[in-house]
Amino acid sequence: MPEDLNQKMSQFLDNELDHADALLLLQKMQSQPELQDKMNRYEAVSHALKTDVFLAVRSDFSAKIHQHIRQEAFHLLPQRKSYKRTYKLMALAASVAIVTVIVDRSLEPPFNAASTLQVANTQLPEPYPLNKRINDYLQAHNNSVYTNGEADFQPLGRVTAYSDK
Amino acid sequence: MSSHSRNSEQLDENLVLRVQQGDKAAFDLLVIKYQHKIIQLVNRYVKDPSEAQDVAQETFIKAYRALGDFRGDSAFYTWLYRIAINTAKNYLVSRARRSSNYQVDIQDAEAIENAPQLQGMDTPERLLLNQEIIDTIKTAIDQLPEEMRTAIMLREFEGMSYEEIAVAMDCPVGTVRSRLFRAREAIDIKLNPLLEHGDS
Amino acid sequence: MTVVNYFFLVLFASIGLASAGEPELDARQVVVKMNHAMEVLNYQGTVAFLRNGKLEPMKYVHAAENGIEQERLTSLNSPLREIIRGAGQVSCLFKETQQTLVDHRPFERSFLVDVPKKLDDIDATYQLERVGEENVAMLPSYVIAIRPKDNARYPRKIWIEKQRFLPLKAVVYDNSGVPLEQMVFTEIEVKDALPFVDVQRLDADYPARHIHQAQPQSSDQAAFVASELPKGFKEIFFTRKPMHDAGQPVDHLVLSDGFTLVSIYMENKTAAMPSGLQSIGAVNSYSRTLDNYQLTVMGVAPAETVKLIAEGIKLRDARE
Repeated sequence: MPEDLNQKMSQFLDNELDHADALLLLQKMQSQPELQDKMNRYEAVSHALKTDVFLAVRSDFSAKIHQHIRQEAFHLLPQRKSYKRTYKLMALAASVAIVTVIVDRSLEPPFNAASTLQVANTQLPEPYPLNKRINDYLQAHNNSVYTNGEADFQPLGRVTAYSDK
Repeated sequence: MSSHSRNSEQLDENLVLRVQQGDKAAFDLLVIKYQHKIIQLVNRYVKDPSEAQDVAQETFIKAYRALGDFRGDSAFYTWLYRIAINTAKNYLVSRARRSSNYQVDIQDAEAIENAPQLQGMDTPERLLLNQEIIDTIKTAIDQLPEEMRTAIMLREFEGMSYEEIAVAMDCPVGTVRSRLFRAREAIDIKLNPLLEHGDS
Repeated sequence: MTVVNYFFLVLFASIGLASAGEPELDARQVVVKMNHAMEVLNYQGTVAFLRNGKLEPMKYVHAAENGIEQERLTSLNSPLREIIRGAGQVSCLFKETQQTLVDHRPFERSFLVDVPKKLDDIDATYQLERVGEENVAMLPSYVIAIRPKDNARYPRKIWIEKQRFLPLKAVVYDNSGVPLEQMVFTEIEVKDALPFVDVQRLDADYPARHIHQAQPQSSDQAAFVASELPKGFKEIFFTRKPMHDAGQPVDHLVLSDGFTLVSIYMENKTAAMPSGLQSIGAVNSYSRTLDNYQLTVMGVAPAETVKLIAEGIKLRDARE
């Protein structure tokens, strides 16, 4: 295993690797399980030094999650222009009352209670991203895009005609 | 838990956005990044490394499903940790229900973060192996050259950044980087054979 | 007979007569009254939409006068927006950016619940049943179950207020009884009159973008025919319009069985589209290629239904 890769893993463990290198390293770990194992050992040693407990991660841990996620639906949210850290809900007191009425276990299942079925031939986004294509269909299909809080689809609402003014 | 640098948060933001746009592979990278930390966190509650991994897997799956709702109000890792804690607590409740002799109070679950963690290692073999691993690690550290030992102690026990260690040891940051990496390598060389032969 | 006994006899008799004069309403009658009330009454309140695990509370207003109706929704959470439906279009004003989106949707009637006006049309596919009474928003309501007669569509319930027959709650369930989508009022009041918003003025004050503006066309113009439709599904709207980017025409056919809307999209095939089944929350969609075209069928309907419809689509030229 190249030494510089191991050194990068050591830096990554300490949050001292820049964003681009960290991303590359994670991608390498994704395709090389032995790298992932090594990273897990570094983390386990770090943890063991503080707690006297050595936690070994099963070698198939991330692979099992990967398999499970494959069965899940894609997230198909509109592209956000900025990643807002200071996002505030402007709910009136009535919305609090609504939550206390509505959020009752008898009323609703988890988000993906409906069965999800595997999509064949998954692909990475092409010039017009797949998720935008499906979102365009959803938006044309029914009005729920306006009432589900994901209506911030301005980049998605590609202009098909301008109003004459 | 060490503080997350801006680099780390930026990486998380990038990956989360990609997942939210349909890139499932980006979620795999988040799993790789946080798998050990989440297992550590969950193990503080469930006190069993094997069960901790099951609960940690469930945490990631829940996080994937809920990622559509994640709006960046908090850092991703904070949000993920909340899911892990809730999943662990729910697991404790269901475990308590399954075993009438296992009394657990959920309020206690929060208060016992620092309690001894070996409760789940209930087989003699597991206890022995764990002890052997810990001894190996400590011996490996004792046998390190002093500058490497100092660097790893300052990093792991004091949580100092590379810059701070460089100041403390009066050396360049690059030297700190190298010393830490070589210390970890030295420990790993001694540890790996034990893990390959031991009970994983 | 004593005077007291005679008095009670008369009393009970009059009660009996009074009761006999107010027959119990069956499910169909309640729903008919609801359709009428929704159109003609002026009412407002706070409604919450629960969909895909998200709760979206909104202020709701329905104004009606001389046969003209307008629905208005005002979000309580970000993104702050005001949504107005009337005259076949939905205008959405984003308050934070002061931009308006105008979406032309002539085939929908309400944000709350769409129930067919002609209930005879759904007799073959749904059974309406009064299954109880409950309070919603502290108002006594009839609970109406809308049960499909097959598995090609989802069951629903509507809670209809007993005095004015407005819908207070509506739930769509999947075939195992798990709620998929919900609408519920937490408070509602009927008024003599409510103001209309001048949508033209809205369009003039804020830069507006129009989408889905193509006029409805005859479905004979579609490049395809849906030859396998579950019972009760009829074509209600067709248009060919640019989507995704300005140069990409897409055929969009909307089918409905009275409650369940299904959309069929056909466009030129691109490398990006996956095939097969996919779920986006409560919406199931099925995509496949047909010669040089990409088809997608989607709706809040069982996966088997969208798949059946998709697999039954044929190109119009090749159809026998």
